[in-house]
Amino acid sequence: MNDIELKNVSKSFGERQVWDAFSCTFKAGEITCIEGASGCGKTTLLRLIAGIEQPDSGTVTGVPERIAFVFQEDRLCEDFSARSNLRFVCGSSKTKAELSAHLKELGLDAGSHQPVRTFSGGMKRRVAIARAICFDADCILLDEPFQGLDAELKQSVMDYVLRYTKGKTVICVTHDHSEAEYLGGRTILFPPSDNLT
Amino acid sequence: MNKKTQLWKGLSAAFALLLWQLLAMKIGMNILLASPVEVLKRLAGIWKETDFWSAVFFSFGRISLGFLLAFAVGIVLGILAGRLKFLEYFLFPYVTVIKTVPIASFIILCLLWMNFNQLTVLIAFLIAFPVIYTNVLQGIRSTDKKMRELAKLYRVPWQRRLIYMDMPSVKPYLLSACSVAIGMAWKAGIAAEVIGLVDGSVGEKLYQAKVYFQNADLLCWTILIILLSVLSEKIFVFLVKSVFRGVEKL
Repeated sequence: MNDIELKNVSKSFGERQVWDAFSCTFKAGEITCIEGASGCGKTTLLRLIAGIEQPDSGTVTGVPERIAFVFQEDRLCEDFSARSNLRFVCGSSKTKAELSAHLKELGLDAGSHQPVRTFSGGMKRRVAIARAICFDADCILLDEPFQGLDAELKQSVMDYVLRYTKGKTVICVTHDHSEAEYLGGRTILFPPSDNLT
Repeated sequence: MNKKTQLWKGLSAAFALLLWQLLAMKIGMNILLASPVEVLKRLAGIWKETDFWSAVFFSFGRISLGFLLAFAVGIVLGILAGRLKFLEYFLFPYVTVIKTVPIASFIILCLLWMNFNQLTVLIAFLIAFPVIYTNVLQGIRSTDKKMRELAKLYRVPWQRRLIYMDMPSVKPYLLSACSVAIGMAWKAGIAAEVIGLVDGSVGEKLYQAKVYFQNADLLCWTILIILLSVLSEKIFVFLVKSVFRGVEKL
């Protein structure tokens, strides 16, 4: 697994320049947290790494083939159960028992056939996180993943994420400094004053 | 529907029947307008006639077959056109022609080209296909773009995208399309049988009722056609909903 490298990346949306010749390296197998105010380009950075957005100039290299992404929105298949939502990305690579175990770890009723549209915001968030973890990706991108979870639940979900992402490249965007501290690893403050390696 | 609404609807229907009875009494000629009582009497006896069930099964079978073909082809082409823009453009002239050409023109053209027995199937297909196709296409187009982005990122294969993303988007469109298309298929199918004088069909019975001035028979068959249309719609929509429920429990 290689380090993820952004070299002289520039990105703008219309008139608004988000990145100008930005360079940064994310070490393979490590957790990096990105903290910063809204609108400073944190989400854009994750989207560039995921290949959803293309840079206007510069390069993004070393991105593994299998990436999981927890978006700011849950993006769930609302008419399906929590387990079906995991099955959506995993296919048959995971057994029913394995998927149920993941949901149970996050305090969700694994046997329920209830569609996720009936779930609370916090429950939906946990399903979205479980889906990313179950995908067995080499790189996991988390965009404010613990938003909407109460303090106790947040800690158990962070423990779950740490348990299943050992040795994987994790890039987590957050507003909350305590989340970055708990997850450990390197923290980058945005907007960065200088290029980062 | 609450009890008050049911009561008002029931009263309106009773009033309409009363109006029909009064109109029939005023005209006073059975061959022009049979009264609801006469139609009811005829309805009680018509099913005992030897060729009643054969006519019902003949038309029901052919109209259902035409609709089912339209349902299958409409879904497949709707999904494909939703994914492949060029296919939507390619199909555009055909779908537009089928949608806009009067059904009577199709019936007469078909009478020149093919076996009368197949006419009902083809006409039911032609009337139902654009409704199913257009709605499925619309449903596919309405799939959340953010979900498409997610599916691409997680490399979800097309079969799973179809089940988990496209089917829920298509569901409301398809259900309403089925309700509309089944009714239209019955109307057009029977019209084709009347114009084409298809032997042993319900349409032929309607035609005979007109020729022999049997107004009670004409209205009796009309009521039966409405009942068959509503019944097939209810059954089919129930089956489609069951399939969706089954898929959602996967």
